Amino acid sequence: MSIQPPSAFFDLSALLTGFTVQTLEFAQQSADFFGVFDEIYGSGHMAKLLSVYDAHVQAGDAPNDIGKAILDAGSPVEDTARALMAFWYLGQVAPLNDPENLQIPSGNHYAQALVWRAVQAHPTGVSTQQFGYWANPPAPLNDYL
Amino acid sequence: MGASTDYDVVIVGAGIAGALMARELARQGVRVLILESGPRDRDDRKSFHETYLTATAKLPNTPYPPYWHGNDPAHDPNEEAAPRPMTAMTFAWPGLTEFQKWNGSPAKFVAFNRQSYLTYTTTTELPFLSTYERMAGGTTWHWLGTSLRFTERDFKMESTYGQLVDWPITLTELYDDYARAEDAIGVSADVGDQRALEPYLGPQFPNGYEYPMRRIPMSVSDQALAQTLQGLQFDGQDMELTCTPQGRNSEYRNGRPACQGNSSCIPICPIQAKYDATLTLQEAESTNFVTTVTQAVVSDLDIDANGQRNARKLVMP
Repeated sequence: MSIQPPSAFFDLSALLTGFTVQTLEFAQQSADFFGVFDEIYGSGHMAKLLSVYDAHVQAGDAPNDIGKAILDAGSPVEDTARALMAFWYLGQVAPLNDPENLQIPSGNHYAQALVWRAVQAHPTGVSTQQFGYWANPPAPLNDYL
Repeated sequence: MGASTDYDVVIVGAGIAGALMARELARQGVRVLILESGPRDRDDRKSFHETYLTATAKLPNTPYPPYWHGNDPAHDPNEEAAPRPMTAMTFAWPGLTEFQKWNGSPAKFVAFNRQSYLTYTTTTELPFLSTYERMAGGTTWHWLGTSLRFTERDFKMESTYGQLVDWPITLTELYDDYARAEDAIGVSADVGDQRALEPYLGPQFPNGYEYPMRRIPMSVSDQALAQTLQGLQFDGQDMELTCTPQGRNSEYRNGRPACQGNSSCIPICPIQAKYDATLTLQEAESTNFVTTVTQAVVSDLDIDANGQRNARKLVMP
């Protein structure tokens, strides 16, 4: 059973991806992004990233400043943040020490990846739409965020 | 296997041709044994689908076994019971001009064939340069569903173009067979669309013919392209966009749903809206006249002095 992620995980992820907390919580329900990231990327890195994020929040920094600070923080915090963004968007992650070894942990991680929403489409191989939808323009971007 | 192990016909390979032959023979009371080198789908395509979704490189034969990577130099394909070329291998294959440079050198073709499993013999002809599947259902697992008919000129290649050979049959003689094949596959198309090509291709359909299902609607990008092409000419001919006949359902038919637009015809339709030969195989087996043995590799046929194929070598794991 997967561990309930701390709310900071969703807040930080929303800041890094541009998607709402609600959308990310929905994805986490279907595929364990929080726990599996730790398993594959390497234990402890997420905790370190979240502690840096918490420190900024405690200091009362503005969200955009926090995001910029984390993405300019250098290794390992910056690397962890970028790997987390890629995991949310593409559903794939590699161990920190083995960057060529990209993995899509489950079909649900692939299907819930944010890239599909960003391009206003469904994951290839996972359509929830009906016959003939392709003859009409996709729904507006806001419907996917 | 049960008490009755006598068969009238043995078919090697449970792909679309083998399955259709088995079904037609079984309907006439002929007892058929199918020997298939690869495995059978065991869980209604769930495992294949999950393998596809979790693969970081989604290639035409990604979902299907064997899963060894064709570019791994340490792996010997001969260790596989039923090896076949992997899509990734095709990236490293020689191109047409390189084959011409080989100039029919048997040694080069032998070496290539050993590595790629592309041809059956040590021929110096151009090998089959694509991939295929070795499993019940065959390569229809990863086909696109494109179901075009041949044109009259395809049967007269030598007399029309001075290439290949003329066939001893004509297109019109095959009209009924095409209709049966399009019914078995379940083809969606508008015969009017296809008749629009008659000025270029000649007639391809008898009067009154209708496809089993209405056509698949054009996508937004197809519509945009069609509009852009309007009024343009190539080689003095008006350009227009037509839909291609598709071997996937545009409506619920024979227990299978309409296409849901999963955008993954190649390599796998997760809902079987697209035809694959496991359907025909099931129809054949449901007659109780057909037995399929999977993971049974036929490696050789012995032909006796009378031209009878009277024995086979069968390798089963």
